[in-house]
Amino acid sequence: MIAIDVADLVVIAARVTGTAPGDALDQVDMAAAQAALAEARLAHAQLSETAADAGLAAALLIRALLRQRPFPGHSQQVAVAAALQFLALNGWQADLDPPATAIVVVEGLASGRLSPADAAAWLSPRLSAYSAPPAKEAPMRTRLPGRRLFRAVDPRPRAGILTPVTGFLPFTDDAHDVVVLARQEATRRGLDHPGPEQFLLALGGQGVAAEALKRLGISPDGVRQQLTQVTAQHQPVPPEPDTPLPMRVMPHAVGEAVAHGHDYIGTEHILLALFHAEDDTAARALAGLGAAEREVRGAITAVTGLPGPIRPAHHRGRKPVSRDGEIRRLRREVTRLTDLLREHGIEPTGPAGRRSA
Amino acid sequence: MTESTVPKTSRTKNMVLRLDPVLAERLAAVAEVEGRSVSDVAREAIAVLVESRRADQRFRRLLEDNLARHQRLLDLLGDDQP
Repeated sequence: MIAIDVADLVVIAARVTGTAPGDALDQVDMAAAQAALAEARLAHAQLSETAADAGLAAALLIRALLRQRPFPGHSQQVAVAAALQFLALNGWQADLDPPATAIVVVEGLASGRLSPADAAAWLSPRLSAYSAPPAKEAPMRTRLPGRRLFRAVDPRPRAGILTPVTGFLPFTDDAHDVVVLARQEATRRGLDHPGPEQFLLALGGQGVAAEALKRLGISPDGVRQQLTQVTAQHQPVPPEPDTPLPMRVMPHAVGEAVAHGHDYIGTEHILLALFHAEDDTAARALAGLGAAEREVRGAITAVTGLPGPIRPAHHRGRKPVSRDGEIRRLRREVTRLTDLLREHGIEPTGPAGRRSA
Repeated sequence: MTESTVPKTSRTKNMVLRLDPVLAERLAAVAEVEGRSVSDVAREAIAVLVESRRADQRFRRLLEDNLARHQRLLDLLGDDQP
């Protein structure tokens, strides 16, 4: 499902309250907005795209916004408008007449007298498919700079990663398949969530990562065997408390996408993220197959035909490339300082030290 | 971009952002390089996102459609209790 993000909320609130977006941005309680959206997102993640689930997701979004109140003074209006927009973005429209009944439901959610499930039971039968937009109009959020792998031809709601800074980064079709396969792999192993090992196993199918691995002479069977050896030899790094396993991979995939100036998450970003995950089982397995981070980056570059990270942006309207360049310079400086410390017999700690070890 | 004549202090507010470590590190790096506060960089990033969303024709059309269709309901919904 396409989720509502903070920027969406600000635009919706500005329109509902009749204020300028800049004023709405000044008025929003950012922590409350993030908390509400996170609460709603957790529910979305567990739902499939059926009418009943969309109704429940909308009800959960309303309740979260009513509880967190990111726009004090206009909570009910913003919550309902946000839920309606969420439904519309996901292909649904709601018939909420008569308004008096809808108000009772909203106030019931606000007071806690009505559960989201009860509200969904009222809402879901009132949902119908949203009228399709005219074909000449661009589909939702077509912000991809380079490879428009799916947006222009596939108007389905996309899965992806939402962060307050990057906004919504959709998965490519191949990356979406990788996430699904990784989840299935985790389920087969009795895990609640996929980790680096499951993502690596899932990357062997198709897509840029699979092509890069093939180019390096790495087969899915080879990956599986190597992972078996690595896990037998090394105890995986214990997870930090309260950190879901996917969160140990996906933030790094987001980082790779941003570092490359991409507005989507592809299989290549997930593959590179494995080298930064705290659990380095997958990175060890790849290294054991002769594919350290450098080799993998080179293979990806060869497959895509694009320069490595931080490629110059030729797309319109984005500024982060200059910042990415600065980040790249900073990373080089960190590497230089790390090496300097080592020359003086000081072993650096933290992610930079681990990566260059 | 034109400079507003409104005093800066009246146009800004403190924000609390929950970011994953990678993004937080990235923001901090940008802020350090540009000699600005992290919250300033974050606010600018969100403002850019807001502008891009406003420019999203489909998003705006759906929003206007929804607001028009449910105007009566939205008018009747009350403000928060103090």
